[in-house]
Amino acid sequence: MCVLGYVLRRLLLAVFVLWGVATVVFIVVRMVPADPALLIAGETATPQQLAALRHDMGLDQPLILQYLQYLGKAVVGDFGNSYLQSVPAMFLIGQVLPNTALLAVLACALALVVSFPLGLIAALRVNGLADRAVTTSSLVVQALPGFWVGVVLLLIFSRTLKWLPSAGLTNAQSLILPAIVLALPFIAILTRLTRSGLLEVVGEGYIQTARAKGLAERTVIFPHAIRNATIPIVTVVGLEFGTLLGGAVITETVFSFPGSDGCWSRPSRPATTTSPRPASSSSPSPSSSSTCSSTCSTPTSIRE
Amino acid sequence: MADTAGDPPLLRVTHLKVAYPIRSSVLMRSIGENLAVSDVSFDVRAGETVGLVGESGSGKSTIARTVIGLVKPSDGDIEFEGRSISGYSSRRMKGVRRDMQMVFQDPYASLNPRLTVRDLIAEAWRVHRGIVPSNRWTAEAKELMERVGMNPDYASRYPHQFSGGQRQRIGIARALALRPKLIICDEAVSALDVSVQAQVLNLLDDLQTEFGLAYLFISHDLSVIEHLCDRVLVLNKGVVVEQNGTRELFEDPQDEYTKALLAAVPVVRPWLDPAS
Amino acid sequence: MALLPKPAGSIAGGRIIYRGRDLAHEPVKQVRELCATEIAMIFQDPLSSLNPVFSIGYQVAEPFRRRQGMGKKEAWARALDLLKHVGIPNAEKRIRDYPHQFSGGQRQRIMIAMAIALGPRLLIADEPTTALDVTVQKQIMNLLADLQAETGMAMILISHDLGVVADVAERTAIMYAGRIVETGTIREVYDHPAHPYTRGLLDSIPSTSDIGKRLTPIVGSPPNLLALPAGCSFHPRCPFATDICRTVEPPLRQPVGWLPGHEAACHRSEEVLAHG
Repeated sequence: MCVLGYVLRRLLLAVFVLWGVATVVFIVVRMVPADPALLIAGETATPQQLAALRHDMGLDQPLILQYLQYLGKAVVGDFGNSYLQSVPAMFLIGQVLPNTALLAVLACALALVVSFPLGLIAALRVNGLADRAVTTSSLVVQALPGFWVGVVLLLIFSRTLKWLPSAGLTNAQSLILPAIVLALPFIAILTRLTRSGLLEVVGEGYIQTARAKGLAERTVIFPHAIRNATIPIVTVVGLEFGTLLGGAVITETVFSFPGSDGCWSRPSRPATTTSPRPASSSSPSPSSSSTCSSTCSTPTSIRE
Repeated sequence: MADTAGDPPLLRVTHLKVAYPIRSSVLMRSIGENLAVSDVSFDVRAGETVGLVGESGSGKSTIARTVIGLVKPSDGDIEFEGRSISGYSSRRMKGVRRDMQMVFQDPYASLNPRLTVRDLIAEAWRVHRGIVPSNRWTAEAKELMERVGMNPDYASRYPHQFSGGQRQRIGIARALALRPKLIICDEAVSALDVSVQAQVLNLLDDLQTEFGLAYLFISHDLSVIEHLCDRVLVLNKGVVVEQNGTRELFEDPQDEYTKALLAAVPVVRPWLDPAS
Repeated sequence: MALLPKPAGSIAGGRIIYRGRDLAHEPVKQVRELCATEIAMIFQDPLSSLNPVFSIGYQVAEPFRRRQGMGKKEAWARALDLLKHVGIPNAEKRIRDYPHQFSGGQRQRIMIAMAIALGPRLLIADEPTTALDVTVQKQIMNLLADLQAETGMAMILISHDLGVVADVAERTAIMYAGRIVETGTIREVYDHPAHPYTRGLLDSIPSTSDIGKRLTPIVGSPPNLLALPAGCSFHPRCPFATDICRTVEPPLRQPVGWLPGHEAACHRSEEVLAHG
């Protein structure tokens, strides 16, 4: 009963957060000195054509009205059309988001499965050989840039060994490499978190109590220590999952994966971006599109 | 007694009430309040030691923090030397703190580990200008260290290089730096070994005689209170259940809670105690 | 109990004889077998000693389930009995609650329930009431005394409070700087302290008889355990110290005229006794 109330309160709070985000996106897009009408009509359009286009898109209305329309439609799930592809933004996202989400879930699962035992081993043998190997390699792995690892893995497993497909999403196998690349830095973070979390917990009084009860060392760790050590891990996984969805863009570009990456940018028009017109939004974060355009050149050279 | 003398007491607390609001998690709306202290009144006269005793949650620390201005009272009045200070802004409180200092329970946590003993003591003079000229700071700090029984040669050491008892002496020297009239001791000897605790209690006693200090002494330890205080207030759940002269209160407790509290104190040599 | 943190501490020498077995030389795993069934322990801070993410029922039932292979239902029923026995009010309902939902005294009761679950012959209580208020302390000590009378278990009570020890224990060992400096029956040791440290401790405690007088503390502060003084570690603080104290470490001994079992580690015990 208490938990249910808590969840309901948080959900209520989430509505406010979404509203805040939508508002910020709206304001930021208005502040960007780019004219969507000019973008669509092209440099050669006459002022009359531009005015007509603006009128069509509702851009000539007062800001507050635009804002209210935008909010009103967003509430019922209508985020308008993409400026670039003239299809509903929701449709575009609906096409590709499942792929990205699949990739993110897969990477997340992989990270948990790998990092947990690694962290456990490191924590149980503090300062031992295994511990040092795990902590050092996690540091190295976290420092490697994702697009570089992707390219190297592609060269090894697709080009040289020809074990795995190099691009696209054709079968389950084509998920393997992108998922690994996406999971690697996450594995590094979670391993270290598991290790430090466990080490901290093992020093607590209740672990001493568990030992004083004469429980086997195995029972002291499972479940007494583990259950407490998982608390920060769950928090970080929740937070990092969002990052994983965003970080997928780069990986997807490297592997030409049909994920949300295609929604933000097209190889032919790398600098474009969908933006919420009055009553429409697909709310891309500006950073993800810019990082993408700066890294897009890498994969194209590979694919040739 | 102070009233008959005509002189206003050094500190007068009347009908003090302190409540902490309970806020809802979503809108931070106040949805109720936790009453920490309700309707507490007492006086502290110059040169006198008044004890506040009670168990955890009784509100004794809240009273101390309210008197020194760290917590705002919900109701009631605090007078210091006849002036009401409960509505003072933090700037005006600064002036009052010259005369009213606090010594805390944990001498380690309350001393900045990056400052030397000399700097810790001189810090008060940096904040309150015009008491000690800056070229005298080192000399005065060393004098104070000597006064609280520390070797003045250690003036350039850091708090972690001292034992608990020594650190509490630093805390007392720091409080003395402004030559206050009232020192509030919040569990000031509770974290110390008995043998060291006795040293600090003796020191507090000596300083009182020498400077005519008044103490508001907060402790859960009844034997310490009995030893040091002239008058005692017994607090239970934010309410003063009994207040009396120390001897009278310990020899003839009136309130049931006071009786229970006194009965619960372990006696060092129970075989000498006819009652048990 | 083989609870020492493994990399940091280890037994450097000596023996721990429990019923004819030397635990100091047995592997950790074998010693842990004795934990809870033969030797049990309760700790100072009952909040951190209970696992916050398991209900108290789970934790109290755990010894039955893991050590005796009892079924879940049966173990749960036994846990409920224990909780009632140690005085947890409304135990049927509260057995599903988590440690943070209990008060300090109740938490210590839960710890005690857990410790006595498997009927140990020896209970080690490490500062069991230090974190508690005096009235609660009294209740917990009474509970421990009742349980002891009922089960006939032996108890080692570790405390810094001479009063708490005097109430419950029959014999005492006074420790200073990692060594036992005096041991004997409580009355012998408290009434005729033969080690200057014991004397100093007893004199340091404020008591009814010395109100208004100065306390007699032990001078100086406790030694740094990494750099103990040569000879008797107490000599820098000792009023009786002579040359031999600075060079030769005194062994525990029972000089002429003392009751059997009363021993002290002091070269000058005779003089200390004569002074008392």
